[in-house]
Amino acid sequence: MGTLVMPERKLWGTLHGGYRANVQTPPQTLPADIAEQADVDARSIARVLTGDREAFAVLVTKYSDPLYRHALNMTGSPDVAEDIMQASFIKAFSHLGEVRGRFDAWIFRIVANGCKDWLKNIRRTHVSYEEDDQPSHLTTPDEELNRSELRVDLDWALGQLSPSLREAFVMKHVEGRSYEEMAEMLDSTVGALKMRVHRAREALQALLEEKYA
Amino acid sequence: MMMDMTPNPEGARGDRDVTPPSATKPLGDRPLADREVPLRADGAMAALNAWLDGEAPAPRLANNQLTPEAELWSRISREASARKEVRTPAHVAAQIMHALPPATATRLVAAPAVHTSAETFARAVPGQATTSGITMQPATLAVLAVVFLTLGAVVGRFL
Repeated sequence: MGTLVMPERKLWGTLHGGYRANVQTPPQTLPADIAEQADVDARSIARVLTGDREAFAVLVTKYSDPLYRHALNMTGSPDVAEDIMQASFIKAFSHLGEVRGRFDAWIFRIVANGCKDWLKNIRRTHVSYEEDDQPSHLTTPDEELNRSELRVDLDWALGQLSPSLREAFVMKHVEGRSYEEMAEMLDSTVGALKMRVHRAREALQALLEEKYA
Repeated sequence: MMMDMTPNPEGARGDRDVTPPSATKPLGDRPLADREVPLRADGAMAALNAWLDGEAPAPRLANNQLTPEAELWSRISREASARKEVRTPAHVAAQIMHALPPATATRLVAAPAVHTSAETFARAVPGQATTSGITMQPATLAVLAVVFLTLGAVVGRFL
């Protein structure tokens, strides 16, 4: 039976958590709620490895939303996002005994790599960002129209960024992760990711400011 | 709504029309790719980045209104926040579970099966992720053991 070992470098964000403001100093130990989630996941994984497939359904349900959001915003296509999700979870299922650390970070890296591979390999395709995928909290038709226009233009502008810049922007602005959490997830440094986000912002602003600013 | 989200690593220099779908006029040729976007040295962008990173207050004009760039980023942030509410379509989880292979390959790694009629000796091939294996029947193994023991005894007698 495979054993789960907590990572030496602590991940202190959570995939299904909300926005985490910029935290200046990382905690020295894994926060209790995250450690508890890691334990719960480890128990689920142990059950899957003994043949309980339903335990895997628990993991799929638990982490599908943030992973789907990441894939959707990286690819811009619900269909592609679903395909990447499915391929990633199948890969995770097939290599579940190799998890050494937090499952959520591990599965995130699988999905993120799937998105980047897709972006690198794709040549030209038409994809849709369906209206139904976007909830609306706006009330007036004018606001809705303006937002819809910005949504389309932002999707277009994101599509012009390189995969690494788009990934950094999506993680920071759409998923609301801190730079420290991004660094842990992507195995990079805070400085490098800050630079990537800044470059992404500049590129987006260059693309959009003539029309909007 | 259909749109082209194809990434364009060549930036605006490629053959594609990079005009945004809803734009009323072209946004012009601008450097787009990662390496083609030098960070601006001006203080306005630095102030924006500091604000968006939560390290400084929002840049404002003399009349205390947000600068046009800050206003744009407020709108982008609102749009980005709305995307946090997106949920996985209901059918996806069932689809994933249905597509899973019969058993995890790693279950065999985690809890190795008892070898039965054949023993497999796998030898890792350097530089390759896969392994090549030689399968031997137990009878063959026994014969080989006897041969090696006999050879050992003969060599030992002559030494």
